[in-house]
Amino acid sequence: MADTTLQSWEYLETLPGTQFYRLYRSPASALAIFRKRLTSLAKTFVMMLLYMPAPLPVKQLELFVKDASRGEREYAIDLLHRYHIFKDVSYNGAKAHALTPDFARSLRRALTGAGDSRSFGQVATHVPHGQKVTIAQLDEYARQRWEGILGYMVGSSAVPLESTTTEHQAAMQPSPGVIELLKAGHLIELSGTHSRGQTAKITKEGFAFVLQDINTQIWALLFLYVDNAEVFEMDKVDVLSFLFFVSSLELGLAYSTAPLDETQQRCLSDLVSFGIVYQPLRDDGTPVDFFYPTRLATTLTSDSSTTLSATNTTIGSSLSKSSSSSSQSSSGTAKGFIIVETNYRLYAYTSSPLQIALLSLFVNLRSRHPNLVTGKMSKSSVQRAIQAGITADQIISYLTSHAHPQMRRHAQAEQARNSDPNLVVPILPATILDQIHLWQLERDRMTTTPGFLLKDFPNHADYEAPCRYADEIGVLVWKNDKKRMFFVNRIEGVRSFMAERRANAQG
Amino acid sequence: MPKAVKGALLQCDPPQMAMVRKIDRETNNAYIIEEIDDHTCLVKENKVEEIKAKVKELMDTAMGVDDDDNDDKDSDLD
Repeated sequence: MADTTLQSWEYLETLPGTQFYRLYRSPASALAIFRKRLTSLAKTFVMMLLYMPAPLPVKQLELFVKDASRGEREYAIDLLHRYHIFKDVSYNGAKAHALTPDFARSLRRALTGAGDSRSFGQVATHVPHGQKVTIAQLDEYARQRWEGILGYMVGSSAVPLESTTTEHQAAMQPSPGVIELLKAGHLIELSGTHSRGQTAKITKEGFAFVLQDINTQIWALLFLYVDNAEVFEMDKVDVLSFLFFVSSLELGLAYSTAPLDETQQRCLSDLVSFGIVYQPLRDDGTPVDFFYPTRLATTLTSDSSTTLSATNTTIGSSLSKSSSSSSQSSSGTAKGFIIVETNYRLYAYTSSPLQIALLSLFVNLRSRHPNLVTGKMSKSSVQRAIQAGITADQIISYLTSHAHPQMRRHAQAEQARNSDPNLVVPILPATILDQIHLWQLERDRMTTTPGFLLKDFPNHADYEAPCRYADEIGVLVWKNDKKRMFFVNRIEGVRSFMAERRANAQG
Repeated sequence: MPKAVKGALLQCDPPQMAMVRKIDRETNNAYIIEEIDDHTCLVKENKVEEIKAKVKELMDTAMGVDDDDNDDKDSDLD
């Protein structure tokens, strides 16, 4: 089930071109888009063109890629157009690709470190000795903040046991601004009045949100923030470029707030409440004139999966680690704590209210012990979750990533005994995997995709070419050769392809 | 001349498609733009959630509300 309300990178693609050009004036933004959103092939194209004095004719670009990889090439070019990095120009009478000037200039600056220091921040030089902050402290700070937000969303709908509330105080209550944002994004619903204390109830979108990995969560929240920026009289593009700026800073260094303008200062104070940056307070409660980006910030635009998983382990796994110290000692590692049996019973060695609340989304919890909860998955409990907007894959990936080391060992032993080395033994029992998918299918037999239906092609050749093209750029959803119809989720690329084809046929 | 029609592609199995058609017929074609085959049809984009909810409703009544005899009540003990 696609979450339509949750903002994501697709949101960025809906911005008009002029906004993009403004965004690309900041080197940090250009670099961030380049790192985070482009495929390897698209990156290669950009790098190839970056220092070329003249546009590159389309024909020549085509020569760079083997025919077998035409699909990837088309996809890369489409992507570059969508992000307004490539533009079509005519050069010596032929069609050619060129980088948009703002993007090219900014990326060159980002790579060579040229330009004013505002592009990558000014390192604060005058940090008092007693106020130096270590990376471990920053991690801890980010964890507390982030856990506070997630805990607020999930824990709020479940009543934690007495004993765990004291342990869980390490997580901070999110600031009113964050709560407001969660509400605006429809991740939670507030009920009750101010005087009697508001209670938050997590929504369907919120469920899907909490099961994501941290990087996706942060971006979802940040895009919400950008989308609501105008409410706080801030400019979307300014906010976005500031976010990209923060993401390009270095972990463990203090940066000066002096070069920041008013919008950026306001942004900064909001990012503090997400745990994305850390700004120490003076004794009188006013913030000091420097700030530290935390690991949440510095991995925002990272494209390497290792650093991303590092964030997940340093910040994310602490969610399970924080209050399950007993499982730590028994299992040796902090990460896994869930055992699933083939009879759908589930044992989770945790006492964290957040984890228990998450499990209760799709498990009928039966009993609770100081360091263990037990329960059973059933058709109705899984379908309840699916109705709430959680997919079978999300459940499975959650269970797999939190599987107890014992289960991993078992799967490895099984794998070793296996004669076929290509056959990967899943960590969860295969029956469980299948059954969860079957339960989902039973409820979710219908899929819908918004987009465009192309039909009424006069002959097969006219149908075949755009259809294949759509498949290559990855927008084809469905086709029927007999009826000469196909369905795409984006039409821009196909439309220009068909127009070009028609022009070629006539000329 | 090829035409492009905006909408949402709905894909499901034939029994569900029969329900979609029935609902559509009863509401004077409020949902379907184009019937394609037993597995696919094009529906109005803004009515997607509505038709989904209606099909679910119809299915629940057709299958009988059997939520009570579910396996939540676990017979064997823990």
